[in-house]
Amino acid sequence: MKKEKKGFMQILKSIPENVSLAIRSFFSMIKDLFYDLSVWLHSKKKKKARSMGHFKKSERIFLFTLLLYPVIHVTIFYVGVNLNSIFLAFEKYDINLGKYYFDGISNFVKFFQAVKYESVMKTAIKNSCITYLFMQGIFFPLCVVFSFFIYKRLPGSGFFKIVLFLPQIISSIVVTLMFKYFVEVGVPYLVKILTHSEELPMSLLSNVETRYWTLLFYGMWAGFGGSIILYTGAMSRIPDSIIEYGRLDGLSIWQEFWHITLPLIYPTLVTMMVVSVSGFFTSQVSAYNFYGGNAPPNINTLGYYFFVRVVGSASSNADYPYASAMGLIFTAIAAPVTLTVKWLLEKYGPNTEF
Amino acid sequence: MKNLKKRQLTCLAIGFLVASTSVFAAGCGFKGDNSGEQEKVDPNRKQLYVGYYNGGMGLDWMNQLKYGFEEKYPEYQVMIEPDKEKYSYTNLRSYMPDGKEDIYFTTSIQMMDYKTNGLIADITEAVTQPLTEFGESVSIADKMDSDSRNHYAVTENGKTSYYAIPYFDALYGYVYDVDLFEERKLFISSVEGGKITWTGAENKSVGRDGKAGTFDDGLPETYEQMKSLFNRMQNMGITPVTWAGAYTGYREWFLDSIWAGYEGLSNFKLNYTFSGTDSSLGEITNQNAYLLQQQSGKLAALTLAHDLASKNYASTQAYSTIQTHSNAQTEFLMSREKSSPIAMIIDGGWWEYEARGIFGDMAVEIDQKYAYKTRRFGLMPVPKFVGTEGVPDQKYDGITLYTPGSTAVVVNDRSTRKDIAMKFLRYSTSNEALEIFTKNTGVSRPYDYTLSQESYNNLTYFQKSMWDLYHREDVEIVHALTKNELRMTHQNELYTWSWGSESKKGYVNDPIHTFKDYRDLTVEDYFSGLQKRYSEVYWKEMILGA
Repeated sequence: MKKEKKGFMQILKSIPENVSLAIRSFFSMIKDLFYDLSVWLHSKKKKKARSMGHFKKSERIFLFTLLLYPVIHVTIFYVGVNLNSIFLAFEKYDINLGKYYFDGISNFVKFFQAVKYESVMKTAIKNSCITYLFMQGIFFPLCVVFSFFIYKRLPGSGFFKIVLFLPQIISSIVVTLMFKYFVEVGVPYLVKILTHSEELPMSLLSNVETRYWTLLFYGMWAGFGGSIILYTGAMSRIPDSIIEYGRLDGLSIWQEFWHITLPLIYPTLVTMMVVSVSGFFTSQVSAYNFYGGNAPPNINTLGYYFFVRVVGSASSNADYPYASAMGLIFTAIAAPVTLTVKWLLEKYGPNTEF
Repeated sequence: MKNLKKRQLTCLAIGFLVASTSVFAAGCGFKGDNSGEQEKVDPNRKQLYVGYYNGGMGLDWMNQLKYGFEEKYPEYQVMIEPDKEKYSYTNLRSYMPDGKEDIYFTTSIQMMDYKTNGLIADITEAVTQPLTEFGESVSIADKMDSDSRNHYAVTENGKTSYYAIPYFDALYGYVYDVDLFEERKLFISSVEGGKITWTGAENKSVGRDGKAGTFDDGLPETYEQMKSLFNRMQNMGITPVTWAGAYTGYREWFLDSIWAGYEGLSNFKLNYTFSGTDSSLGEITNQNAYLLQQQSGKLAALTLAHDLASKNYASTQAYSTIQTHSNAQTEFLMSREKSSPIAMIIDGGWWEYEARGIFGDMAVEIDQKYAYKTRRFGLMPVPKFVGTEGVPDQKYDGITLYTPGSTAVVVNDRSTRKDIAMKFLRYSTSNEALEIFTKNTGVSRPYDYTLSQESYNNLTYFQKSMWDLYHREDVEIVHALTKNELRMTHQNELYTWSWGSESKKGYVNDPIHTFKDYRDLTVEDYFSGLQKRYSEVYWKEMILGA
């Protein structure tokens, strides 16, 4: 026996190192697989919902009434509306009969013809691109930096908190009015005084060179508050022990921002970036707030163009099929882009959990 | 101590926010608005709810209409529901199915759209039966002016029906300050060899109509004379004109009025019917309506727009997005006290009545001579384009005045009190009611009626001149109304039919502001862009083909 045992050990020892490693890895993998399976089964078991039979009658009534409203709401305002939009996209409106009828893909064709013939569509696409890049390239980083600024309670953060949150507290139309008067009256007078000019310069919203950028600035300022709440919320979840550990290691505040804060709030950043993709088609840079349905053509974005198409003074039932077709086209573009962006950000971004 | 201070500061901040919100809320009201006073329902009478667009016409006439109706029909009580946003076009359309109002006086509806959607009731009987109960032998349809009748009469299967009737007509154009013109000698006395002699109140030229003692005495007959007038004003330190920079519509209607004045009713109306013969372009149908973009009237209006912008004839505020109609009226009226007064405002016939609060303020704060009804204003006729560089000489010699919008009175199809609504509708177009409207607002309704001497005398100088002008035999009134199926189906594509242009600066649709924005854009660029916007290919693929 001793001899045999010795022989087995010798056999084992005689196996080359790489083969031995492969065998060990294989068994380790099987072990991990079984472990994962047991965890999964365990979690499935835990998550298993109780059947309705386990609830008392009064509890069932309570749960039913609790769920009834959201279910009806989603059924009508999401499923119903979107289904109707899908049907509408393939229909046309008869102005004399007041009825919709099937018209194939004419609304989709019309969209591509509009892109071809109407330069306002080209302007809208261009402006949407600029808006998106501005928001991603300037607004987004600034939001994160200001959030960090407020989160760390650096000097002046209280002041910024008030200035940036005010637009969220006050009614948006009041904020728009205040801003409008500021740039239309205040700024020209300020410029007049500073330049000792005799005439009032053209205001920022009236001047063709400045109106679009003024709206972008407004959008940024008015949107800061909401984003900052999200980012500061995510930052405040970072455990103090990690920060303290960093400080003991001699991290500066910017190193802390770059090496600790940013990686740890990365899931929030991903969410915001993914959501912002859809903004490409819907953002109207507050043009409707400032100009109503008659914004100068050079500030049109896709969002504004189609918003006015549906609610503008020239809109009627005849416009809904076209607008619905637009919605489908935009979805067809936005959905894969959104999923790709999400996949890329998650694949190549830092993977942190705490 | 620190906490106490913090708490005090917080309270102060909250107080400030509440106060500032209250200030904004208070700012939303306007003088003379008594919409907050709600009359109590009388249980002994049947109620009729009237949805009333409370814009420039005010509530005074509507209240008088109510009392007049209740006097004639004591068993009914008229409940006026004044509002502005609720009854504007897009809102009314979605509001009406659930609205409690039985009848609406509104400023902008697409009648056929409302009809096909079952929003408005068939009022044929009320419109076509003679108004005998008010001692009149004619019906509402008989009293309507022909252009309105053609629009509002819906003929289907050989049967003519009515679903709406017109509400009011307001002429649109330059409103000038007569007192200023007299004081600063801005009227024309004579023109000899191109040299103009200027005058004040005396020795005025006969104007375009060739008759002395009429509305256009001393006013420019040609566009070249008008430019001379503008230049004279500038040299004297007078700003020629201002307008509501906040609304594109005001400028669009103004240029439409120039275009209509050049083309005349027959040619101009083709833009709304797409059917008929243009004196220069020939037969127009749905198939070739894009040719109307070549009408020379557009070139004339664009030339004027270019001059207004490039020669700085307008006040700086006219280009501001916060220059609302009331701000423009204030700027115009108050400028009289300044060293550089403004001579004209671009506005509709309702403007003076709408601005009565500003007159009142000026009377109290500055001088009684600025009170309502004491100052004199007039509507400047569209001058003839003869000898203007780049514009073919105008062939049409008549006077065509333009009135925008599709104002209408309609009965709610879901009303359970349609019988009372019909009675009120008929009463509102009786001679008595029409007079109530004009003597209060100074604006005309497109029906055949007269004013008593007392009512006429009670009108302001401006209102009298508008009334006289509106009722002249040689004046044609054009309404911007359409029943054309193609226009209605492609409302959005044709929304900028008047001034949408694919210029070299991209798509533009507001000529005056566009010429201000792009100094190097020429009239020709803009004009050719109009034809590019509605090119033959576009028309066939996007309008006829879609």
